[in-house]
Order: sequence, then C-alpha cells, then structure tokens
Amino acid sequence: MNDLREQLKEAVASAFSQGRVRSFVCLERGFYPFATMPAILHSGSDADRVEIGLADAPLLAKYLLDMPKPAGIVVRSCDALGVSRLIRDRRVKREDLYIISISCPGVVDTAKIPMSMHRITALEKAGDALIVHTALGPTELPWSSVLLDRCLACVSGAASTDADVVLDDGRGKPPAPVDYSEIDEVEHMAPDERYAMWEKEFAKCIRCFACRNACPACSCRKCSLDLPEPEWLSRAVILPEQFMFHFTRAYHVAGRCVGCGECERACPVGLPLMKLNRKFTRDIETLFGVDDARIPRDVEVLGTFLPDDPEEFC
Amino acid sequence: MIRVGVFVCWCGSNIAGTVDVGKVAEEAARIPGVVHVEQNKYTCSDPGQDSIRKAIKEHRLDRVVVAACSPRMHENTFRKCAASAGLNPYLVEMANIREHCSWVHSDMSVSTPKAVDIVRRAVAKVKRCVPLHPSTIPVEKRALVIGGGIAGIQAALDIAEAGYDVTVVEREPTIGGRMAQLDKTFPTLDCSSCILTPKMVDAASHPGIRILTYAEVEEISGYVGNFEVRVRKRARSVDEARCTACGICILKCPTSRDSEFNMGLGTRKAIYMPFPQAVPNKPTIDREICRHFTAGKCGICQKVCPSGAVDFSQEDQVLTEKFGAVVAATGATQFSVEVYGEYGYGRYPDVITGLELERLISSTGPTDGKIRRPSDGKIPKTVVFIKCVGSRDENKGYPYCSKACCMYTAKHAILLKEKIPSASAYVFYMDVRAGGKDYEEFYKRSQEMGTRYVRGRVSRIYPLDGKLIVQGEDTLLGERVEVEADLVVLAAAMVPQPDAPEMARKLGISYNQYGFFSEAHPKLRPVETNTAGVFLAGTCQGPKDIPETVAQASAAAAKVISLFAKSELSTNPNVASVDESLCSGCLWCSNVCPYKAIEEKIITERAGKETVTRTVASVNTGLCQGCGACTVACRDGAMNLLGFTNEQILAEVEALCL
Ligand SMILES: Cc1cc2nc3c(=O)[nH]c(=O)nc-3n(C[C@H](O)[C@H](O)[C@H](O)COP(=O)(O)OP(=O)(O)OC[C@H]3O[C@@H](n4cnc5c(N)ncnc54)[C@H](O)[C@@H]3O)c2cc1C
Ligand code: SF4
Ligand code: SF4
Ligand code: SF4
Ligand code: SF4
Repeated sequence: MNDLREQLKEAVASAFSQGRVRSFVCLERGFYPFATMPAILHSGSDADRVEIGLADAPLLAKYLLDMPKPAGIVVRSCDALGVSRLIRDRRVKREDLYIISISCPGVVDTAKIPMSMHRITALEKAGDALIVHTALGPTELPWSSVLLDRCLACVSGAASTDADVVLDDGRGKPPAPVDYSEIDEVEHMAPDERYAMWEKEFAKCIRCFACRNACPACSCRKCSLDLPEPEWLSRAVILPEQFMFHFTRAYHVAGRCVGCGECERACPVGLPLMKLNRKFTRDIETLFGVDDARIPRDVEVLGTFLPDDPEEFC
Repeated sequence: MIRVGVFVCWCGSNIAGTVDVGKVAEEAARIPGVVHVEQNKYTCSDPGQDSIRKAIKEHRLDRVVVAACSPRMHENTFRKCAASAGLNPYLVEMANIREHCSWVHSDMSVSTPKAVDIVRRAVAKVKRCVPLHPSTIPVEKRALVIGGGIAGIQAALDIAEAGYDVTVVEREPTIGGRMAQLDKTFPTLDCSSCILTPKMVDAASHPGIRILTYAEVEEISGYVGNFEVRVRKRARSVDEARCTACGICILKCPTSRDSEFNMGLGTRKAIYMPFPQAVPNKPTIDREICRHFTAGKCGICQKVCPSGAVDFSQEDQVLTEKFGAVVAATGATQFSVEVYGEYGYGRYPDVITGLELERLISSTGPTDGKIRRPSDGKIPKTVVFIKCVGSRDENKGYPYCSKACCMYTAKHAILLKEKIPSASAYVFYMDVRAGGKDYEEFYKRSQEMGTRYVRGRVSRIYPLDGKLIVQGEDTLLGERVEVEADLVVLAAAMVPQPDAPEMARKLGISYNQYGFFSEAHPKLRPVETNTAGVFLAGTCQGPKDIPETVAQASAAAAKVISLFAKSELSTNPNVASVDESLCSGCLWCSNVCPYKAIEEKIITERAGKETVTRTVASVNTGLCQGCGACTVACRDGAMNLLGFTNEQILAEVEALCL
C-alpha cells in the first residue's frame, strides 16, 4: 500500500514539474487521522500531502468543474466513472485532464465500524480483515462488512486504463454485481405501503441539496430547481414539493447515475436515495438490454433518438 | 395591462348540450385578467368571427381565448381572425371544451366545472404568450419524386404541367411499377399498358421532367423548400446517348436468369430491358450475372453493338442536388405467401399469385397471353382463387385489408372466362368488398359469368394425378367443399416495401406498425406527412387501387404546386429556442432531436478576469419541427419551445391543479 502511495506522490509531483497540470485533486488526511478528505493542490511541493485513502474516500470527479485547467485527478474505478460522466456531459474535456488511475481494494465506510469514531486510533488492512486499533487494543472485522456500499458493487478494483499514468499494485477488489434485492423488496410492496414509505422518507428531507451537490451527474451550470422563474420547485418545504424535488432529482440523473452513492452518503438525514437510483439503473438494464447501466456510454440510452426506436404510438 | 377576452362556443348542441355554457362564461369573467366574455352559437361562423374582431377593437383585447373545439380543428381559423383585427395570431389560445369535455361526458354537473378548469388553464397560458413572428425561407422550386410507378408518374406530370421542374428517381431500369405488369384493369377492363405506356412516354418526353432510372436516393438533408438530396445512379453499362435500342445485344447475350418482370415465369438476359415498352428504352447490364463481370469473359454484347454503346467501365454516378419538395411514391410489394404452408406455394408449381396470373394473361407475358399452367403448359379447366392471403389475418399475415384483391380476383375470374369460356372458377373468400364506383356491378358481372363464390377458408391443397385438390369449408352452407383444380391463384396481400422504414428515416417521416408511411392526418391531411415539404402518393401509404393511387398522386402534386407558388415560405414560429445563459452545453437536446436541428455553437464570454469559450446548443429554425423532444431532454431548463415554454406549461399545470 505504501508503495502505491509513494508512486502516487511521485506521479503527482512530476505532473506539476512537467507542466502538465495547474491544479490537482486528490485525497489528504482528514479530520480523523484514519479517514481522508479531498484536497486541491496547486504546486508540486504539496505532493507530500497525497494519501491513498483507506477510509471514507469521497468521489473526486466533481471537483474538476471549478479547478484551473489543465487539472489533474487521481481516480479509482468509481472516480473514473464520474470523470467519464462529466466528459460525456461535456462539462470537462478529456484533453484538459491529467488522470492518474490507481487500483483499489475497496474503501472502508467508518459508519459501518460498530465503534465510536473517537476511540479509533488507526485502521489497517490485513488480508481479508480490517484491523481497528483503539487504546484498548486491536479488533478485527471482516473486510467486506465495513466497505462502502459502492465498493460492494465495484465495477473493477483494477486501475482504469484510460489514464495518463496507471498505478496498479494488483490488489484491486474483484468486480461484483449490483445487489438489487432491496429494489425487489420495494417493488413487491403494495402501492399504498410503498407510497407511505416514500412519504415518510421525503418528509425528512430538509432541502439542503447536499445530494445534488455531491453528485457527478448533477453538473448543470445552473440547476433548474434554483431558478426563480419558472419556479419548478417552490421554496415551501411541503410534502408535494418534496415529491417534486425528489422525482426531479431522480429523473434528471436517470440513465446517467454512475452508482457512486455519494448522494446518499452526503444526505444529513439519511434518505435512501439509492433505492430510486438503482430502480432506474435496473429498469434501464432490463428494458433496454444494457449490460451495466452505471457505465457511461457513447450512445446514451435515455438521451438518443434512434431512427429504429420502435414507433409504438402511431 | 393584460386584457383577455374569452369566447365560449356552444357548437350548436355539441357543447351546449352537455356543458352549461352560461355558467362557464360567468366563471370565466371572474378569472383575473379577463375583461370580456362572450357566448356564440358557432364561434367559427362568420358572425362568430366578426364578434371576436369587434370585441378585440371595442375592448382593446390583447389576448384571446376561444373555448370551443380542438386546436387541430380551428386554431388556425381563430389565429387568422385575430390577425385580421390586428392582434398577433400567437396571442390566441384554444380551450378545448368539446373533444376534451362535452363529447366525453354526459353529466352536466361534471362537465361544466371541468370546462371551467379548461378555460382557466387557457387563460393562465395566454397571459404568458408573447407575440411570435414567422421568419421566411426561400423555396427551391424543383420537385423530387421517389418511385416511378403510376403514382410517381402522375405526380411528376401534374407538377411539370404547372411549370416546375421534376426529377423522378426510380430504382428499377424502367419506370412503370406494378401497373406495367398488369394485363387489364378493373373495373373497366381497359388494357393496363394501353393506358400506362402513353403516360410513361409523356413523362419521358416532358421538358420539365428528368427521369433517373436504376437510381436510388442515398441521403436527404435540409428542410422544406431546401432539401439537399444525394442520388446514386447505378452504372447501366450502356451509354444511353449512343444506344439506339436495336436490341441485338439482348438477342446475342448467352446468359439469362428468371425475369423479375414476369414474376419468375420466364427468363431474361444479362443485358435486358424488363419489358418492350420500358422507359427509358435502353438495355441495362445486370452485373451480378453478366459473364464479363463474373468471369471476365464474353463481351459479346459489346462486339455486336453497332453504335458502340456498351460500356463495361461505366461507373455509378453520384449527384447532389437541391429540391424544394419531395413526393414519396415508392409503392408496395407482395406478401410472401410461402408462409401459408397449407397452400403449397413454392412446392406445387400450379399454385401461383395474382401477379403471376397477370403475367400469364398478358399478351407480352411468357405465354403470349394464353393462360397455361406453369407445370405442364396445359390450359386449365378449373381454377380456384383464394382471397385474403396474408390480409385480414393477424396470425400469419397482417390484420388490414389489401383493398385491391377483391376486385382483381373478380377481374381474374372474368378474364379467365373470356379467354377460356369452358373453364370454371371458384373463389374462396371471407367477404367481398366492392366499395367504389362501378365496383359492385363489376363483381356482379363476374358472378353472372358463372364464377362460384364460396365463403370460407381453404384448409389444405395437395396434388393428386396432375390435379390440385383444394379442400375447404363453405361456412354459409356449413359443409366441406373439395375442388379438383388445375390452377390455384392466391390473392397475396399488398405489403410495404422491405426498405420502407429505411426510406422513412431518410425522409424524416413516420410509418405505421406495418411499414406504410404515415400521413399527417388520416382525414384532413391525407397526402402530407409530419415533415413539411414531404408528400405521399400511392401504395407506399397503404393498399389502394389505381384510381385511388392516381387521385392521391394528383393531390400530392397540388400540394407541391401550392408550395412552389409562393416565392418564400414563412416558417412556423413554434420552434425551440435556447437560453444560452442556462445551457450547459451537454447537447443531449441534439442527440434526441429527430430532425437533426440542433448543432453545437461555441460562444465566448467573460468569466471574472478571464475570457472563456464554451459550448452551447443552437437551433436551426428551418429544420426544427417544434416537436419538443429537446425541451424535455434538457435538465437545465435552457431549452424552450416558443408558444409552449416551460413557464407557460407550468402556469397551465398550476391553473389546473392548484
Ligand atoms: C395482382 C394485382 C392486380 C391488380 N389489378 C388492379 C386493377 O385491375 N385495377 C386497379 O386499379 N389496381 C390494380 N392493382 C393495384 C395497382 O397495382 C396499384 O394500385 C398501383 O400499381 C400502385 O401504384 P404505385 O405507383 O403506388 O406503386 P408501384 O406500382 O409499386 O410503383 C412504385 C415504384 O417505386 C419504385 N421504388 C420502390 N422503392 C424505391 C426506392 N427506394 N427508390 C426508387 N424507386 C423505388 C418501384 O420500383 C416502383 O417502380 C393490382 C395489384 C395487384 C397486385
Ligand atoms: S445520483 Fe447519487 S449515486 Fe448516482 S451519480 Fe449522483 S451521487 Fe452518485
Ligand atoms: S441531501 Fe438529503 S436532506 Fe439534503 S436535499 Fe438531498 S435528500 Fe434532502
Ligand atoms: S440539453 Fe439543455 S443544457 Fe444541454 S445542450 Fe441542450 S439546451 Fe444546453
Ligand atoms: S423542438 Fe427540439 S427536438 Fe424537436 S425538432 Fe425542434 S430542435 Fe429538434
């Protein structure tokens, strides 16, 4: 692991020294010593701050929007999907990016460690286990029980090859399919029951828009929900408007959601937004015969007029 | 200040019978912004329109709502009416309280409040309407006709007679289409070539008509008045200018194959003319079988041609030209009757289709007009006709009626009796459909001549001792029937050309579930399509006979002529429009636009201290058909359809729901 970090630091420093980038987004040590947070570097001398990120690594793609170009980024495969999303939405250009891809064994979700954060002094990956160090000594947890949801459905832990530098230590997590059992459950609910569930969930939303802001598919210059006129969404935090907001959010990312789960992670009140997102992803896969709807593709399933689309309505 | 006038129509009892019109008017008067309300018995009538004009002046109305029928019916009427009173026509909004209300309800206590809501919606929208102005585009006054069957020929002649240039593109080596293959035509029994050939010659010799045969349309871009079309004229391998049509090449050519024109009942050479009256009257080399092309040998035609017209090195010619209007006249083809295994077509040579019989009756056909059965050349004594083979059959064929078969089967039975008076004819049918001038009489005539009509389906045909045993059921008598036939004729369904969907795509028009091109409105716009400047003629739009085909072709020509009569076209101002400040440049709109009307545009703007460039969408208003697909694809809300803006639609939703 440290090897990878050393290589990464070097790669970042040389991206600056070769004049390939004006800025670079990566992870650095976070508030808790064992967690990481995003950092935007402006010079090669900052390269020492770069961390791989064992726990709580957020998706970095969206930071690219506001960074001085050319901009560098370090990507795991999930970040790469986010970057690809932004490129296909023409919000960034590939030629303005300098991409370093790394392999990834999965990222720990500290919320899944059954222990108060304050007691943890360090985290360590040892084979198939996470060792949680505390003042009282280490505890071992199965690696798969503490991973971020998105890692459980990882498209591939190997370093993505569409990159300017590829750093792969061969310890990437093997790919795993999305688990749709939760969607099955919702689909099998009676309509009233399902409605009541969403009513309860949407009622919690405080309209902070953290979900939108975290999302690599929500990248409009100006979100239509912020427009004063026409007022798509009234400012009143009332149930019908909550539905309006959540339908709009879900429909606007339908067909473009990369399944990173950042929206759900960002939500301060714990709305199960991935239930909506995954429902769309699965529907697209079954209705359009698409392999993995999270992966951005050249011909957007929901965004392309194809002359041989069946004309069922005439 | 916005001053809305609301005109509530009774439509006689159509609306007033089910909606309390007085109450609607009363409620409308209370809607903020409404300054004048009026009721009319028939608002679309002259006095009705007058009252609108008068009210616009007297009450200084700047918006008008007509609560009446569907906008498809009269929106245009009232727009024109408002315009004649000096109001911008796009400040008129229809509230459809007929189709959407009075016609679908019977209880006045339900329909009246609903009508009020519909009016409220229209007022909410019209208040947000702004004047729109059509722009103008020039018209290229040349027409393209695709397909040289009777439909294409008729349309070309009519357009050219009006003084406009026409190009006909036909993919076969000759024009003429199906009609050229027919012997005589119902209901008058005049000989098909006698009435068709002169028209073919007229078309060929008309100074305003250019015929490109052995040619196909590869691509069409542009829009009404300004289409750009790429045509590939395949190499005939014969120099048309030099060839004198002496025909010696055809005589000497050693290679032959089944003749398409004779439905495979005869052969033709590798260098051939489909039939003697072909237009242009020049041979074509079929490179698929010509020994010069397949084996690098032979070349006899070139040696014998006295005018040196055979040119093996000829290449396809690709022409790109501009046209103002396009008439699609690509015709139809025959259903593959092999699907009906029980009839044995393909296995028993004496089971043939109606078109094959046409060739057997025709004096230019493979049997010189003597009806001889294909297996042994004998003159048939008993002939069984089976109708609706592939038509009106959802299981094996198509649910629709092919329209011409009832009549051509009657014709075949009559011609059979004329040629072989001793022969007997049986027709197995489901119904006889003889709607048309003189059609019923024609059908009666075939009965009077002794044709036996048996109502019922044939279940099986099998050969026995040189005969075909036809087993079926007479559902009227409720008994089994068995006929020993010498020849069985299947009335194959008329089906769309296999490449119809591809052609529709090139033309930017839609087609129905079978593949027939769709007209803009089944009753009121039968020859127009949803793409302005593209018109339909003949069987490409649906099964029809010659009279109907010709009528439709002339109608399509009239549309083209009235288009060309204008020096400029005004465009529909209900087009998409981009708010560049909101556009993120994702171009999803462009990818969903069926008319390829959206392009990317680079704009330069200041962002803080830097000057930056960014991509935005840009609508070509000439190409945009106002379908609105882009507006729903745009998450940013940057794309608006003028006349149906996001703001207007939200106002309508609010008026209806809040
Ligand atoms: C057996 C039979 C008997 C009939 N008898 C009668 C009768 O007695 N009386 C009567 O009124 N009607 C009769 N009909 C109906 C009649 O044949 C049709 O109504 C008529 O021929 C339709 O003409 P059209 O021009 O629409 O199509 P077509 O005659 O099919 O002409 C279409 C033309 O377009 C060309 N084409 C197709 N695709 C392309 C392309 N992509 N590019 C360029 N060219 C293309 C074709 O080669 C063809 O020349 C009969 C039909 C059948 C099958
Ligand atoms: S909707 Fe949620 S899961 Fe999907 S891309 Fe956006 S942040 Fe990620
Ligand atoms: S992050 Fe959660 S609370 Fe905030 S807007 Fe999204 S769903 Fe609502
Ligand atoms: S979809 Fe909307 S944001 Fe995207 S390019 Fe088109 S107008 Fe602009
Ligand atoms: S409304 Fe939009 S999608 Fe429709 S034709 Fe016009 S530009 Fe294309």
